[in-house]
Amino acid sequence: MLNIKKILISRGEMIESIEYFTGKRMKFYIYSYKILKGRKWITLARWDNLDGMEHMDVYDENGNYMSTKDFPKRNFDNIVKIVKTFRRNIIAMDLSNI
Amino acid sequence: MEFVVKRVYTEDDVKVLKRSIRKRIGRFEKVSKILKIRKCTDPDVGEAYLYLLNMQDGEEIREEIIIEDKKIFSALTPKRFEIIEVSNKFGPISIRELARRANRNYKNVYDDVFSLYRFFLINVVRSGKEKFIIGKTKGFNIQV
Repeated sequence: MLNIKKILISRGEMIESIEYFTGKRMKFYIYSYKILKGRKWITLARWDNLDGMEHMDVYDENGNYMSTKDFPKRNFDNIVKIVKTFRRNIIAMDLSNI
Repeated sequence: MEFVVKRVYTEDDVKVLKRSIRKRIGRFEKVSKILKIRKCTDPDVGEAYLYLLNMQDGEEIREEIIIEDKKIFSALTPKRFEIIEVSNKFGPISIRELARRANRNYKNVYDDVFSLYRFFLINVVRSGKEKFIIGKTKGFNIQV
């Protein structure tokens, strides 16, 4: 089952969760912080475990990949709190110790 | 204040979504391959992979949208409500077909569709040259 949750925190800013379940177990997740540019949602930061390891990918304001940072596993509620605190500054922050 | 929208996807919606992913990125095998090569740094590919994985299982997609922006109320006009109603009734539907069914000018419908999409009150995907509205909005819930 695919469980999608989108939270629009303000106009043009959104936090998205896509969780893939096999049975009751969550196998993969993608949590993204996106901004609206024109008519397209651009990813600024993304947390996922698609390659089997939790990490954070950072993108610039045009959606181009910038870097990958270590990031311990957090649930979606924690990610929402972090994004709401730092908003667009999140791409410049070192969040590995949070 | 939270404005909560729940959306469900029918088999036809999933078919349009699958076609859209296939045209934009490729089939499941290609998406899996790209994901391994690029180590999942492309956000579109990662999301497409989860959608296709779920489609292979034939499992349902559950979607919930929480809108905390109070400007949502200015986005909901009678004409835009009509777009949600028509897309619920006839969806998945292209914007051109939607304009025809609503008996309205294409450009105005196109603009309204993107005003609604900005708040995720509808879901729009590109499939080839056309853009389709997919998913059925199950209702709005306002929590104060």
